[in-house]
Amino acid sequence: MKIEVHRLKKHYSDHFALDVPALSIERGQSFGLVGNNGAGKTTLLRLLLDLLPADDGEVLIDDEPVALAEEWKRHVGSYLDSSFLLDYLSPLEFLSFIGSVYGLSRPEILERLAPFTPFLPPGALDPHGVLIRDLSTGNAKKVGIVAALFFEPEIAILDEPFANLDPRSQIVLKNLLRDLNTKQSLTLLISSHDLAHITEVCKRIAVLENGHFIREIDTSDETLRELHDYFAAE
Amino acid sequence: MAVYRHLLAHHWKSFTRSLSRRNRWLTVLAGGMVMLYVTVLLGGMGFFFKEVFRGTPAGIDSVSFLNQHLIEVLLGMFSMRFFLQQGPRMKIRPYLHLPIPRKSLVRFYQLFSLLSFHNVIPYLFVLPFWLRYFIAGGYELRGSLTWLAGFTLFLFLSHFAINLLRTVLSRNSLHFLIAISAMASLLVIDQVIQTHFVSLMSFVLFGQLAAGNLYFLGLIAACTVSIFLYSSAVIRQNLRSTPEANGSPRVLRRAIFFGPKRGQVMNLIMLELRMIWRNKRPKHYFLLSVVFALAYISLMLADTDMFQSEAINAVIGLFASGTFALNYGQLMFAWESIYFDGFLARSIRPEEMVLAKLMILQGSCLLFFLISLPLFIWLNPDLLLLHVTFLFYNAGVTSVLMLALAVRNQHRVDIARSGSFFNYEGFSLSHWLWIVPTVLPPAITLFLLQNIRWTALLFIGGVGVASLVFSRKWSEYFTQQLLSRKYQMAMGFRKYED
Repeated sequence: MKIEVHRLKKHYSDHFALDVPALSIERGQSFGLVGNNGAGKTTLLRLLLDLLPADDGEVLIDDEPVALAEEWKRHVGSYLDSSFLLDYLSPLEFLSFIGSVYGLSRPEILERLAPFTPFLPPGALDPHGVLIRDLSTGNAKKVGIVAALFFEPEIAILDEPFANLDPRSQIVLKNLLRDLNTKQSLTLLISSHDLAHITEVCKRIAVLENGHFIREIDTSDETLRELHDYFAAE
Repeated sequence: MAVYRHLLAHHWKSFTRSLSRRNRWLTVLAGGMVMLYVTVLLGGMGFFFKEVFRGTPAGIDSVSFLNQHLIEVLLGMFSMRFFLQQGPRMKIRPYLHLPIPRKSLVRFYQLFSLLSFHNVIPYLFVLPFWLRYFIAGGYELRGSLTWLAGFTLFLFLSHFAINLLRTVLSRNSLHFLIAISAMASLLVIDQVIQTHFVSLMSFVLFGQLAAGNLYFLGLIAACTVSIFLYSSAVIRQNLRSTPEANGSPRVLRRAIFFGPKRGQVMNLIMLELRMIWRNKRPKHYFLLSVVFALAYISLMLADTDMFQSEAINAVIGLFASGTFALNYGQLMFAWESIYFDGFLARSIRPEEMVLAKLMILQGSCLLFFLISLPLFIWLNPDLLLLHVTFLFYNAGVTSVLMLALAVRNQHRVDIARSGSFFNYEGFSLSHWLWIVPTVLPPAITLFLLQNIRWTALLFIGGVGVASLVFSRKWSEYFTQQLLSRKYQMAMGFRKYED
C-alpha cells in the first residue's frame, strides 16, 4: 500500500495552510515530517486521513482517493491526538472496541496486543483497570498509539508520538516502530519535534515550513546535525 | 468597582462580537418571528385574560383567579427553566486564577445571570395583565406596585434557587434526586388528595401583595436575599472542585469486551450507553429525564382540570415517552465531538453509526414509555391510549426529527470539561426552534380532531408506525447527510467554545 499526494492545497478561512505539489510514500517506507509550530504538519496528516477537505488536489491510498473511498481505513492505523481515544473506557475496553472494528475476535485481540505489553502502562490489560481519562497524559497516549498499531495495519500515521512520553517509553516506542517497519513492512508516516528520535526511526525526512516542503533528506549519520543546523540557523 | 467595570466591559465585548459573527440570517429571522409570535400571544393572553379564561369560577375576579394559580405556573416554569437557564459557573472559571475575590466574582455573575431571556418572558404576560387589571382595574397604586414587586422577587428567587439546585446536582446527584423527588411527591399528593395547599398559599400570598401588604413583600424579599446568599456560598465552595472531575479514579468491576460477535451496530450502541453512563453531563440528562418523566408528568396528570385542552395532552404524550430523545437526541454526534476525528479516521461504517443512534433514540422512547406507564394507569387511565399513541409517534417521528437536528449540529460539547449540568454549550437557536415542528403537528391534529379523538390518535400513531417501518431508509438518508457534513462537523467539534 502506498500513499500518493497530488497538488494538495489547503487554506483556512483567513490564512494559507499547505501546498504540496507531489509526495509519494512507497510501501514499507518510513517517512518523517519535521517543522516548526504552524508549519502544516498536522494539517497534512488530517488531509491524508480525510479529516479535512482539500481545496485542491487529492490524496490516494493504494490508488483510491481517500475522500471517495472507505476501504483504505481498514489498512491504516492512526493517532493524531486525544480525540482518537475514547477516554470513558478502560484501556482493555478501548483496545477491544478497536479490535472489533477491524473484525478481530477476543483471542486475536489479546494475541496481537501481547508484543505491545512492554509499551502499555502497567495494568492496561487488566479487566479491573481504571478508565483512560484517569491515566496520565503520557500513559493515555501509549494506549492511543497501541490502538493505531496492534491490529496489524499496513500504514501507520502518528502525530508527535514521542511527545509526553517518559524516556524509557520513548526508547521502547522507537524500537517498536523500527521493528514493525523492518519486519512487517509497516509504512510509517510520523511527524515529530524530536529530531533525534525521528532520524533514528525514519529513513526519509521532509522539512515543512509555512505549508511548503523546504527539503527532503534520506537519513544518514549526518542528518541529525544537518537538521539541528537548519533549525538553529532560522 | 473597578473589577465589576472590567467584567462588564468583557461581556459587552463578547456580546457585540457574537452579534457580528452571526451570519445565519434565516435562523435569526425565524427566531425573531417566533419571538414576535410569543410576545403577541402572551401579551394577548395577559391583556385579554378575562376573555381568554372564560372558565373562571363565578364570583372570582381575574386577579384573584390568577393569584390562586400563580405559584403553580411559576413551579411549572421552574422545571422548564431548570433545563434551560444558563448558570454562572462556566463564566466564572476564566477569572479564577486572577487576584479577584471569589466572593465578588460569584455575586457579580449571580446578578449578571439575571439578564436572562427566562426572566423577560413572564413579563410579556404579566405586564399587559397588570396594566389592565391593576392600573386600569381600580386597584390602589400601592397594591399594584407591591404585587408587581412581589412577582419580580419571586421570579428572582426561583432564578437563584435554580443556580443553587444545579450546583447541588453537580456535587451530589443523589442528594439532588432525593430533594427533587420529595418535592415533586408532595406536590403530586397535594393534587391527588385535593388539599390544594399550593393554590391556597398562592392565593393568600399574592392576595396580600395586591392588598399592598408590605410585610409579605418583606418576607419574599428576605427569602430571595437568603437564597441568593446561600446559593452564592454553595457555588463558591463548589469552585474549589476541578471542573474536569467526573469523580475520583474509578476501578472497573469488570471491563466489557467488545467483539465482532455482537455485530458493529450493537457494539456502537453499547459504546454510546457507556459514554452516557460514565460522563456526568449525559448521565444527568438521563437521570433528569427520568425525574421529569415521573415528577412533571405525574403533576400534569394529577391536575385533571388541564385535560380540557387537547393541546396540553399532546405535550404530556410527547414528553412522557420522548423526554430523553428530545433532550439528548438533539446533541447526538456532538456528545462525541471530542472523539469525532477518531471515529472518522477508523473503519467504522457511517451507516452503522447512524443506525445505532436511531436505535438508541427509539429504545429510549420505549424505556420512558414503560417508566411513565404506571403513572398513567394510576392517575389518569383515560390517557393510556394517548400514551401508547405517542410512544409510536416519538419512536417514529420525534427520534427522526432529533437525528435530523443532530447531523446539522456543528458545536462542540465537551462532556469531560463541562462542570455544570447545562450551559447551552452545543446549543444554538435552531435547537429551540426545532421543538416547534415536533410539538405542533400532533397538538394541532389533536386540537382540530378533538370531536373524533380516536381518529386523531389513530392518525398520529399511524404516522409514527409508518415512520418506524422506514427506519432503514431514514438511517440511509441520515448517513448521506452525515457524509456530506462530516468536514464541517469535525471542524466545529474541534473548536472550544466558552
